[in-house]
Amino acid sequence: MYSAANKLYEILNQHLGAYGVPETVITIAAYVVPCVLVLGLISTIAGMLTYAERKISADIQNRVGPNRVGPFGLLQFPVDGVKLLFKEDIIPDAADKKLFKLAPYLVFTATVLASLVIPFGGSFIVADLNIGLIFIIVVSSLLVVGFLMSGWASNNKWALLGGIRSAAQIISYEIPTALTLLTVVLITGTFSLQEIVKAQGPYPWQWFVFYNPFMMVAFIIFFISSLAEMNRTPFDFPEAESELVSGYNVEYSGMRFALFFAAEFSNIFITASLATAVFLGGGNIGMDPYSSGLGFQLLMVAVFFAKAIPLCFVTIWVRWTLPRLRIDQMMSMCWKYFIPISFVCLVLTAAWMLAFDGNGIFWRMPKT
Amino acid sequence: MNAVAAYFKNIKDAVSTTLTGMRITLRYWVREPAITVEYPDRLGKGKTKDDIVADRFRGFLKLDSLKCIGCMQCMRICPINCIRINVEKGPVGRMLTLFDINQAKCMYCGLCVEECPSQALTFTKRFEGACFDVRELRIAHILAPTPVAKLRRDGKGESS
Amino acid sequence: MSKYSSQEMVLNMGPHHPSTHGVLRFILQTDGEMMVKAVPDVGFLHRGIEKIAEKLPWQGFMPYTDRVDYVASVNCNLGYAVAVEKLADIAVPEKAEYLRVIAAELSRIGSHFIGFGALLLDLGAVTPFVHALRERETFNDLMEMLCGARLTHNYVRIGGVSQDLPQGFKTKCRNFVDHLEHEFIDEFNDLISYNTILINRLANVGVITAEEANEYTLTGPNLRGSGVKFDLRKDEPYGIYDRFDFDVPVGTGKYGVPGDCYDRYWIRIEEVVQSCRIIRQALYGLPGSGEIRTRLAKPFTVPAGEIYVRTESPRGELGYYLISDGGKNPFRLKIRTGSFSSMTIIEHLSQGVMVADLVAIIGSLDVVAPEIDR
Repeated sequence: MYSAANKLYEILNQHLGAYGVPETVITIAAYVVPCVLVLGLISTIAGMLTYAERKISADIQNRVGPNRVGPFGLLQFPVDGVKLLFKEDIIPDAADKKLFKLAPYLVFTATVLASLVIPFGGSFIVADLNIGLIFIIVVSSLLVVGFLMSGWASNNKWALLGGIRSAAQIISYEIPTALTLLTVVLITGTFSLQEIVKAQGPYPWQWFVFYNPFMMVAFIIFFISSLAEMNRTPFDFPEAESELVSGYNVEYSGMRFALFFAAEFSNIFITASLATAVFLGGGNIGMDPYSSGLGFQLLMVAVFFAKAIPLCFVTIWVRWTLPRLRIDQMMSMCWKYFIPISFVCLVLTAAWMLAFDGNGIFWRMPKT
Repeated sequence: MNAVAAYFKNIKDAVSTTLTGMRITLRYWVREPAITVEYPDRLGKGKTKDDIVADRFRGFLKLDSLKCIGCMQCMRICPINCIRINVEKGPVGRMLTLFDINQAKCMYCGLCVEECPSQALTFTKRFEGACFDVRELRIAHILAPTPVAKLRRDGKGESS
Repeated sequence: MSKYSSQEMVLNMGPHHPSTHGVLRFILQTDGEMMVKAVPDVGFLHRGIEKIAEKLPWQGFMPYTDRVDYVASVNCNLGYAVAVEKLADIAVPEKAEYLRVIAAELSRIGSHFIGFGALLLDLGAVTPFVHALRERETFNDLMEMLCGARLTHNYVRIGGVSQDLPQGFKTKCRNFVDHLEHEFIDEFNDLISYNTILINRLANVGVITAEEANEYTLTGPNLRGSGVKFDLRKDEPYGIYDRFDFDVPVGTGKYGVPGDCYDRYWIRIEEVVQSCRIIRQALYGLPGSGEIRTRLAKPFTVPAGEIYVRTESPRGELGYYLISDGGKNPFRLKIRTGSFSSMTIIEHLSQGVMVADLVAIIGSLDVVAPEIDR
């Protein structure tokens, strides 16, 4: 199992072992550095997505969007972050202080933990776990605990309502998400994300989304269910501004609020990366990711991002087009429409594989 | 319509109306320009602050003291009493000694401008009244006692 | 014995609320997600306009009528002017009548944009609201050309209007009306009105039957949404409204039951189209020359008497009840607004619906706080 920590340990040992740097330091560095890098990458991309959202929403609405803070307003998101850092940290008197403080960290951790197994192209993956896909699905369930905690600990009825709705929504929509991801596992037989990426090819017809028509439907269902997982419109009822005054994060201010916000936007990027890796052949240009030269690996990263970023834009685009669904309509849509359709996709893909020996319309099962 | 057909019709309706909406937003995203006038930095091609406001705009008030006949109609009609006028008897005739308009109180309704028989009181296009002290908005239009004008037959004032 | 059962919550949808209806407060009693009751608490925007009227001369009160409903100020001006003219028996010149109709119908269009725009904003669709506001900008520009102000117009006077049309107004107005009727409304409907999510949110929600609407004295689009065809411009015409040819849209249960929120929303869109028709006819029939204002006596007094005059404002019936004692100020002026009556039905409609539906109901009734509180 490839892991960036192992690779980094070897490199550091090679270069620094001769200088007498103790083993523990090298081990710690090897494990911490990739995580910090990924954390930095995800946070930066989340920040840039907030800027992109404001600019895109302005374009859709004939407005200009942020344009004062840097060239074309590009410095808006660091400036916003600094502003939120300086805000007063208000904790309601009657709130449950330990849970109140813990909730944003839990939500942010749940989101960023999933980025440990996302293959960013080439050998740039923190840990290529054998159970990568299941790890992601499991870890995003932590979000529920975080939202419930923030809703309850705020000692505010609106927050409580928002937290409860959010929890119900997320656990319901995890089912179609997992089921549609499982259709891909049927084809490749492995949960490891890097293997799934390697099994696809560089050309569009070799991606899993075009494997058979049910995979196309599965991709769309995955995308929409993950919109619900992230509490984005049309499923953003738990944080509806005009109805619930921001739901579960109404009592949070300053950096704690910024963590919730950053978690939502990081989630957008992570979902888009997951969809790219699993369905759109993210980062695959036909070469082996581990043994190619640095130039090709960087090309793979570029290809990956070229596929993931448009999916983020689609998320933003959908948000500014559609109104919000009511909570019971959301639930009925999940249980009556999405879950049956994802089951049908799963079963029919399995039947397809039986009928056609595992070959798709264009994709061919490798001979072993 | 039976339940199965309704089920599939729901799916089809949802998808088609969503896609129609998304196509319209995509067109706005990609093609339509922003219509915001970025006041005060970018007002549009060759436009000045005077151009972005219509001719009849009700901005700050301006008094032409050569035309004022001292009838005090504007003071009487003002619903908020933001005009203060003092007219005194001077050596040769009536003299205007005070003409203050409190632009902070003024609601820019235009009744005073309409009532003025000699059209001495008019609107300007000035709308920027932000200042640090509200007393700066209490504008005195007469700085020294001025003789009032005589109302001519055609309705315009003339200094006597 | 407590009147709350152990499961119920009392929530406060306070006066500070991110919604464009204004400062309105609701005290909600909910059982989890389902509402038991929603009691409105009004009065946060009370400014004592009716009392102020007793101190001001008759013409001096006109700017205050702007503020009764600042979203549709020409209609409020018009109601007051018509009431005083009827009591004092003043004739209005022909050209002024046409100008009044043009301004009032433009104001109706502007108000409806905010009406259904605010409903969409509450439901989460921000983009259509901003598009509607963009069109309202053209209305603001037209009124700025005409009378100098963008929001509180103060255009109508007792005995006519205050100013004649400027150069270029007719062309700009005609282009605006054509653009609305033939381009904007169709695109707007494609974007949001036919959207399945919106239909699911609004259809079969907050159903008001015709009997209930009459019982709770709803007026205007709220009454017409329940199927009752009653429009003051057609049934009790004032001014020259009887010369124009336009339809009165009535709620027919387009996607649900007649009298639901979707009907009230759809009627406002249809009324915009009808107002465009009226404006076009008025621009065509506008006399080229003529007086725009009857000269009033100085000092202006109104003979003693009392009168109740009602006009059709975008939110319903706007009634002015005037008592004059022959003096220079009104003795008593009472304003009856459509939004105030619409508030009375919210408590009845809110029993057994979800909190989200309550927001849709309030939005579809198109209440604005200044009208409720005056």
